Amino acid sequence: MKNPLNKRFTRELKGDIGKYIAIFLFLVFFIGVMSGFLVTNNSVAKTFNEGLKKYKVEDGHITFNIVPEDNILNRIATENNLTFYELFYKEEDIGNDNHTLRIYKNRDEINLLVFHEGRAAQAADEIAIDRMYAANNKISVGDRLTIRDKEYTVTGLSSVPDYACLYESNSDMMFDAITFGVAFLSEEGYNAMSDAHESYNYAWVYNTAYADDTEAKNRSDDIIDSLEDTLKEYDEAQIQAQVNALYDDAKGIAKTLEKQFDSASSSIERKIEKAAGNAAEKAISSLSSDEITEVIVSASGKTKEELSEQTMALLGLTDEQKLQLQTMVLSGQITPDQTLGAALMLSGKSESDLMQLFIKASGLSMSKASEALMKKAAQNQGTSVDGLIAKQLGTSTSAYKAMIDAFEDAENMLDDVDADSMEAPVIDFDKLDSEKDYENEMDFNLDDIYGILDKVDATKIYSTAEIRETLAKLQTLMDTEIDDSSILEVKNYIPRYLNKAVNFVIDDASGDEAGAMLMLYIIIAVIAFMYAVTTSNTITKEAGVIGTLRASGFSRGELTRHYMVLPVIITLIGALIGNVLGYFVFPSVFTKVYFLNYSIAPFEVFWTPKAFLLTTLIPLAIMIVIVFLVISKKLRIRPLNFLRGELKKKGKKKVVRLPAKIPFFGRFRTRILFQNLSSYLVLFLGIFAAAIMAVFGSMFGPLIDDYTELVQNTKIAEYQYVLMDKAETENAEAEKYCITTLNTTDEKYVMDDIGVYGINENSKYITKEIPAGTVLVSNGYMEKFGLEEGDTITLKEPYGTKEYTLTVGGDYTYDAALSIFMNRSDYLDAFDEDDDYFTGYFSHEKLDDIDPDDIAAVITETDLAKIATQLGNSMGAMMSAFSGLGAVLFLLLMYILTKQVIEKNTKSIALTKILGFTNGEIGKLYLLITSLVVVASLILSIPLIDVALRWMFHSYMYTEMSGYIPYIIDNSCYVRMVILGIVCYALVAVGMMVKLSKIPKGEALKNQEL
Amino acid sequence: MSFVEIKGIKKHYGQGDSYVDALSDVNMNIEKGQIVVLLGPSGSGKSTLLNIIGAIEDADGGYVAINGEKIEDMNEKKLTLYRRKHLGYVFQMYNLIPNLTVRENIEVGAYLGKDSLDVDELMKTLGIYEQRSKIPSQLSGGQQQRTSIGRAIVKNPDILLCDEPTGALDYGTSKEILKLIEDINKQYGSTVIMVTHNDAIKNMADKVYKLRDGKIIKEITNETKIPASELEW
Repeated sequence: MKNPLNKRFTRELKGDIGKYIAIFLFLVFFIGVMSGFLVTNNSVAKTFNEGLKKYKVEDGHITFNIVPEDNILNRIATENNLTFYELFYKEEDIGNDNHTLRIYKNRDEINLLVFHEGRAAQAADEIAIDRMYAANNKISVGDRLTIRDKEYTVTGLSSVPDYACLYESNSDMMFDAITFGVAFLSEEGYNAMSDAHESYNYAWVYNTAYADDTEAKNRSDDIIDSLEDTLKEYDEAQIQAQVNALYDDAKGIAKTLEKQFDSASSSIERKIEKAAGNAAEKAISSLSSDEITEVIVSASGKTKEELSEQTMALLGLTDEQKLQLQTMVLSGQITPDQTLGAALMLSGKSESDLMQLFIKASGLSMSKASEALMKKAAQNQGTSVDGLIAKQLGTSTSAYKAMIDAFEDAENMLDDVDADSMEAPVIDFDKLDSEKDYENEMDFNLDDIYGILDKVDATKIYSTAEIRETLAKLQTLMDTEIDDSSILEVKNYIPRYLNKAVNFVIDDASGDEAGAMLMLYIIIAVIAFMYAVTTSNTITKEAGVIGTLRASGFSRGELTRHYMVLPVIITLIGALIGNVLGYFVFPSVFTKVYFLNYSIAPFEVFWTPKAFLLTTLIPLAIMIVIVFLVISKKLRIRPLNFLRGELKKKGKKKVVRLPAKIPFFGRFRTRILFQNLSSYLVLFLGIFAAAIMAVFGSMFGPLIDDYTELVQNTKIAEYQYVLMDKAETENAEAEKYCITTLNTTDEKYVMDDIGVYGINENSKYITKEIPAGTVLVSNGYMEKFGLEEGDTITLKEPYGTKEYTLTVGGDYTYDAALSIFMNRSDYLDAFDEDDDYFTGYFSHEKLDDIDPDDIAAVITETDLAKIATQLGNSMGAMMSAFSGLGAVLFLLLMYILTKQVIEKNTKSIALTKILGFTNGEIGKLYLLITSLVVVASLILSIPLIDVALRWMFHSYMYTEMSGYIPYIIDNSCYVRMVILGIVCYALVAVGMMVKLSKIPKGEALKNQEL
Repeated sequence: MSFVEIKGIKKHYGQGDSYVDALSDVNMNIEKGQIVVLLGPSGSGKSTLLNIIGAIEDADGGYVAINGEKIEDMNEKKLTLYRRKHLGYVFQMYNLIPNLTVRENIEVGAYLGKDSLDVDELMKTLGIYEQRSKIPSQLSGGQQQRTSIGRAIVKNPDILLCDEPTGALDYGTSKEILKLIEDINKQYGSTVIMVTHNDAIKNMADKVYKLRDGKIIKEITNETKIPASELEW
């Protein structure tokens, strides 16, 4: 026999049809939307996964500063078992609103194009553009676009898998399909376009697919290692070759110099010797015999007699001549003093022979004797020996002396220089901060050499012009700057698993999916509690019956199941129908949303068991668990207590005493409040949930406006120029700055790009003082990462391992980007840059005197606020949906729970009617308290919403999303939420007043149980 | 061994100053098929005793055994089965399910029994067949109590527990209900244990236990019973 209690279900349904229809429709709609959302998401995910192969999606890409040699790519490809595909692009401005088009050639090997309309560019003046960019800018096939003063005809609207989401840079917080797009030219068209803004980009595909993101990361790490090694070797070789060539040239010059110095030295020495000889000769001839004798005697330290005697001996007289000489002396023909002269005559030698013999007898060298004699002669002439030589050379004594000294220095110098042993230094980038930091270290001290040459030149006895020419060549080598244009650098590196432009659609879908499911389950839980409360009240109402049934043998389980049937069946049917709608109706809505935001290939919607599990089985399970817990607890009371109507523990049965001072109506309402505490608690929770949805749905509009205003108010300059090359401007408004990008290292957060600025002292654009040795951190960075003054932050270079630890010296109000500001001197020290280094200009005026080819980007407030613009553009529809759901939930909860309160008090309401209360008075009694609870709940929700949404921003948006958007809830959002809640309640209250007025007085006369 | 054996039942409520002995050492022996009336003023403990027999209230001491099976030894599951198998309940306030018809309310009882009586026949017996499609709020008190009795006896219980079954009814209707109970006792052989404060009803019983302050002050065995229809009060 079927359980006759089952017959109650249809009557219960009919009896409370409004409640059940409202809940049912809400469930159908809500679960339908969620199911449709999931079905669409899963369809997109499936299309994405299948598209990886179908559209040959890259596994990553690398952008170099120059075109690398084939062997570089081959080595990286071989080491990492991958294949490279050339995917160069040129970025050009389009229109007058700082729109950027990233222009590629047509593709046929990788990241294949899908055309939604039209065809690929074929002629040189044809172009295909991204469908999303075209839609946002109202560009159609057949329109004409002007790029770099050349007109192109739009032939097709396309999408490519590497820009499924139009992120201009992977570090952008938000994609930008409004001011950034991709376009495709024919090869002829591409080649004809200026290559001033060309990027040398290569996509790669692994030869064997990776299994998951972990493996993708490991492989990516391997590529980075491989890149580092390969580029280091290549770049070191590039520098080394230049340095070697310089040193080879220097070596040749050094050898030439050696020869030239030898030649000069020989020539000068010869001239000096000759001059010295002549000077000596002249000096001796100018002296008398006595003077010579005196000088020699003096210089030798011997006596004149000794010298005469020894000279005599040296004359080599024969015995006969000696005898003859002796006879002459003895005979008195000659005096003893004349002996030497007589001997000279006897020997037949000349006076000069006698001089030499005399000097020889003195023991002095010829040069010493000459020197002494020259000194004597110079003394006689009132000059020096050098003066005598200089005179012979035809120069001044001082110049001659300086040259002699210089020659000594030159000899010392030449002893140290050996051209054959000159070696070029070995280049090692490990000792440098950057590959481009290498400077020409050839450093010869040419000043000394030039000093010697000057001294030689001053004597005018030798021309150093030839040597000077050679030295000039050496100087040129020393001044030669190392050409770093051949240094191969990675400008951009993104493996696919980190590429937002590829993955954001799926990541966003899964993130949204988690959020949506959480929302679904919260709402289901609220509805389950609502069911539980209403059923609990039914149990209270039917306590006598339940007691009787229990006393008659019905088990608690049977009754629990009985009371659970309706909520479960309604949830199940609602979920099933919602699933059907979710598959057949709502996907078309979400497909539109996808196509409104993302540049994805067309996809087919298919059913997935996952959607069924998440939107039917889990909500059903939540409903069953919550309703079961509440009802089974309620039915745990013993049958007797049911019979006695004692449904609460005795301790709780105490009646709260209310002061008599409170007016009767006040006490009455307070009693109603106590009586319906559980209902009101659920009402509060439901209002809170609905209010969060309503506020969340309305907060982004004002937030975007506020953020845009903040960005505008805190911008550094009207124009911020980023240069490709150093370019000067005459504009007085312009102020140079330096900037580089570093990455955050805090693993709690997704990696962020931080713009690190080097700011001039006394900058008129960054006016806050930056304490020396510290940095100012933008307020967004401080907020997002929870930084405080005095904290240290560690950043790393984007494609390397070098880390920088900086101390926070304070905050700086700049909302456009996560940034750090440091003094220029600190910047140059930190990044080892030259004193004249800069990367761009701040300016309040447009700088017209800079060649556009030297400008990498001009950032205006439009660019700074583009996150906000895109957020508003893409999230508007979704946010409206949230607000709508919030309103529906408000209505549903308020209707059911207010009705619950009225029904619970039907008999009392009837009694008050019998007693003479008007409907208005009864409404004040039974509806006003609910109204107060509603208003109080709405108001109390405000701080809780703030806490909840702030938590969501910090724990989800700030940790899971790069970039920054401030947490701002405009007060108008709260006001709108409260008004929405009150309007919803007003509608419900009107309905309840009607219901209340229709309660017959006879109800009061019926038995309690009826 | 009696069909219903009650030994040394004790029950108290409250503590300290509010301590009340609801039952003190109550002993009873009830044979199968008897009509037993528990008679006494308010607060005498008769309803408490009925609830203990019906296993919807625990005793502090003593035991109740039905057909030799002590209910004190039973867990919740066994107690439910015990009630389902042996007991039918009739209350003063009927406790009908408001949104079920008369027939359906009786079917609720039939659903619990293994060899339930024919519902239509029973309704005819109870005199409510014409009202079978009405819901309780459309019935008079007597009709509601008849329905309540129908729900209790349709599963053909061994014991019919009646707690002031006429307490909310007028004289005529009360007599009809008492007669109905009597008829059921005769027709189905159900043991009837009836709580009442109406002294006249004792005369239709096989055995009467008079209670005061939780104690049996008198046990009367009627050698000659007066039919319910002849009762006067």
